Amino acid sequence: MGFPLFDMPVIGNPLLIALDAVLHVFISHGIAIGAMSIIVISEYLGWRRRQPEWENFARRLIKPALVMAVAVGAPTGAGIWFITSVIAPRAIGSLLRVFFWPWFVEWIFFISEVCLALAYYYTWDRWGSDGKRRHLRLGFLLIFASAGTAALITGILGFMLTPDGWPWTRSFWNAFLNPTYLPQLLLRFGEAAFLGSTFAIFFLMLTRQDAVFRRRALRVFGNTALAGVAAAVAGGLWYFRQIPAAFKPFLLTSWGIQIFSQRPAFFWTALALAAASVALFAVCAKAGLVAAVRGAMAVAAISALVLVGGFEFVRESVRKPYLVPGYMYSNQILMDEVPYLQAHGLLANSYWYNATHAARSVRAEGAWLYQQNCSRCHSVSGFNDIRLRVRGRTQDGIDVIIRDAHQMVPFMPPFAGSDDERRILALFLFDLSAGRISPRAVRQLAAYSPEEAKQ
Amino acid sequence: MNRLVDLLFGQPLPHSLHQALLFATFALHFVLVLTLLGTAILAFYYFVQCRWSERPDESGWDRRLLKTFLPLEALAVVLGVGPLLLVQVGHTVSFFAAANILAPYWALLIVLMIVAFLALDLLEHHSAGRSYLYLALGIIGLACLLVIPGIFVAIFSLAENPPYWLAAIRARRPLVAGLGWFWLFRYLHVLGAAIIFGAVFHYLFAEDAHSRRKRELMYWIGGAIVFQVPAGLAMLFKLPAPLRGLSVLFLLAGIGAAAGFFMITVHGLLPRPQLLSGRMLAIAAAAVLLPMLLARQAIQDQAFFPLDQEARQNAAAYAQQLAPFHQTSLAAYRQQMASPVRSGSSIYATSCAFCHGEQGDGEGRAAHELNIPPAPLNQIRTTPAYLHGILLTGVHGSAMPIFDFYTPSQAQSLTAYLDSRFKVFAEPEAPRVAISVETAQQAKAVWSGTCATCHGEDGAGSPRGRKLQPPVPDFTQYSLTPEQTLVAIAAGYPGTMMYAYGGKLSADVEWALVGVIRLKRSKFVGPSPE
Repeated sequence: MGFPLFDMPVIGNPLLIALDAVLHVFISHGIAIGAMSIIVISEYLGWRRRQPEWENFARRLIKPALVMAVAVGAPTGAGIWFITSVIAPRAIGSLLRVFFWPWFVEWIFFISEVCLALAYYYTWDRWGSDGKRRHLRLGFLLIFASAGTAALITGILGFMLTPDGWPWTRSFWNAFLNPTYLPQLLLRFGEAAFLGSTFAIFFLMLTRQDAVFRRRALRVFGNTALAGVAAAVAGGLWYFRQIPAAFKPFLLTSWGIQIFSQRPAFFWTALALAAASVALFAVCAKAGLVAAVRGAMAVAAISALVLVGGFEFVRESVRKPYLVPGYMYSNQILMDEVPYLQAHGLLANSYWYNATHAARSVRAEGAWLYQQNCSRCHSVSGFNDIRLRVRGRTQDGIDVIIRDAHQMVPFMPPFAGSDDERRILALFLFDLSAGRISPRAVRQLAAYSPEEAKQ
Repeated sequence: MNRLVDLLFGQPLPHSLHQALLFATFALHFVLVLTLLGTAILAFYYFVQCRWSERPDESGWDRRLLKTFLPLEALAVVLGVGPLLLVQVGHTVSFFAAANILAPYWALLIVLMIVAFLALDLLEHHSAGRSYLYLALGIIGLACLLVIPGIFVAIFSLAENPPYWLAAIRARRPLVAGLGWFWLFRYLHVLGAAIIFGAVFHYLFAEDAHSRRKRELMYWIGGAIVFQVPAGLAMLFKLPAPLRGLSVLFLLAGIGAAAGFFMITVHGLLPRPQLLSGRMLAIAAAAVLLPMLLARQAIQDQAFFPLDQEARQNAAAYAQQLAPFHQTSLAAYRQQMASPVRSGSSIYATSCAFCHGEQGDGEGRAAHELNIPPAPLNQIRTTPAYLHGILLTGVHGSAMPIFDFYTPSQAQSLTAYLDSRFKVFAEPEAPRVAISVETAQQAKAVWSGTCATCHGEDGAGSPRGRKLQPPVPDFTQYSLTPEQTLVAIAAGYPGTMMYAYGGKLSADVEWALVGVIRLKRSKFVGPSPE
């Protein structure tokens, strides 16, 4: 099997990617698209209405926005790729091939976006008021480039839930223009609008501003924030409608597992409350209620985080047991591969296992089987702890659970390995859940055997 | 070739185009990276020199250098995405293997980049005069920044040297396993090149007002070139044998170009104090860079191609093995998408029946593999709360799994279905056997003397009984039909501590015990018709 796999200690793999991705979404949507658009629009308003305060405001906001977008947004974006390279190399390897050219074109857009942002920033003072028209054109081009970057990457994201006819046709356009593409795009642009407006409002409140201008600007950003929330909610509901019926029953339970399963209303209520409080924040801004806006800033920030994180959670959770439905399971094992590995064994087909383990060790085999079959979603000691799922079950019980898990738990992939390997994994999980193997030992056992490795 | 292979190891673009794109995009990225690193080193040096010397320099030279950090950092990162994409697609095996072996370092890059960029971007806004805060920012930023190329050099050195992969997996510090010296010299070589490029960049764009500083930059360039020659030679010397070949030629060419570059620098400095033309410097820098890039390309071609080739062949063979399963797995997928789990009956069919049986008799196809047989659901009489409890926690010490991934409404639809089919919430039936008062008294004594040890006097389970694996059931909320209860008393419950009492008690007393157990659920049932 493919590659030696990385296991993030303590927090587990899913949480690692989630932390990085949510931070990236916040910055890329909120600042690179949202705040940058707000800045261009403010400059335009200043020029159009002959109100220099607008331009002043935009000129002050651009530096922190640029620094955040470049210093945090770009590394976390590349970071999603860095992390998936080591926790899901087969998955990202496949996606890069299906989407090579969109990815490449997205890169060109990304370069244009960065160059335009830098040019826009550095020509601002140099071109002055004489070159305002030209500068604004540059700004609108920047908005176009950043929206284009998002439009391209969203196709790839949507593919991972609704590949549509792709498993049969393997056609690129089937994959890219999938049923959740447009809803997700609407949702992401909505998020960009409300996050960008919220950042702009924060900047208005936290810096020294003329009181009249502050009210005037609050009104405008309140409107854009409200439009953004409306678009995001509409996009979210539309997205929800497009989720295939087979995935819907386990929308919340298949990834975060039992945090929300027993309180499904809690999740939706939290999401609705978050949307409502961001909307209320926007309404306060629109009405020019400076004190109310100031007081509600912390709540608005947390609500925005809940709203954005909540959607990404559903997006990640809902497509289980697949990573790419109709092609690859969440544990990176191909659908076509499962019957083959059940017949011929996973270990016999694991180049890395055999290269790194000389003497036969049932426990090391168990660790490797666990790592290849379970550890992309489960952790030991962290998020979605495997031990809590099987603790207290008998060894023969665990064996039956592994064999029939994909039936019994509709969001679990089938076990990929022979009957003997399944029994080895059952023994391993039984020992693991009973505390006889430490989390650290699991990583070590899967990595190599302490004796001389085969050459 | 099978489409599956296209996905895992196939090439989405022609080989020559891939190589050309990789060379060009990497060259662009590398120039920016070197300039960025050089700028950071020089900027920090001049920041300390301008702020912390006896007579602070207020000409703004350090700020001038720091100001270029933001655009350079943006361009360096964005231009790195393309080569990363091309390497992953073109040299999948080598790259993913090395990145995975060094995964913790690889993931650490994200944090290092954010900290370095934020710290050095903030440093640009440093106040006049000495400030320990900004000094600390500079140190942290520069330190984090300098670790980044070290990690990249380690990953690519490892990717290029498959014979070291196993050693690296087994090493405590895999970053430099077996390749320590090579890694060190290569890293130093990158830093030397960074200083040259940083200095050339600022030399080209410095204003004439800073002519003194421009002369200093000439010294930086000259010094760095002098540093590069031994670093390059040492790297050459430590280059693992399989990688020598064309790359040696390029490295030697690089050393030749560096010598020429050095002569130009010295020429510019020594005879008359005059500055060099920017064009000449740029050409000289390019002449040093080109062999460096070509050497890298030669090394990687040599290292990556055989593995890529092999991987593609293996993938093709593997795909042929998988081909027979393709249509069946697609058909299964189509069926799965068409039949979502919605209600109690479909939950029972997928999640319960394979153990508990289609008929609820405990005779599912997996039943014979379990030491403790699955409960016959059609014999159970219990309460909704008790059954929900079992679904939420499973039964410890048995195979009964934890079903807490079902939402309360899903669980409720399942239990309602169980009741409609198997009457699980029906009132426990009374034994249809006449029992004399005397026998009933005897049975009560047996209960208190024997059964209560584990089941507790009240039937809810004694502390000891509840500690068993699996624990005793709570008879105040759970019972079996009279016939099944009798079976349990007479034959025991396989795989548990409930052993067979058959033959130790008279048939009458056994039936009377069934009645005693039923009465434990007195909250739910009327008095027994004696």
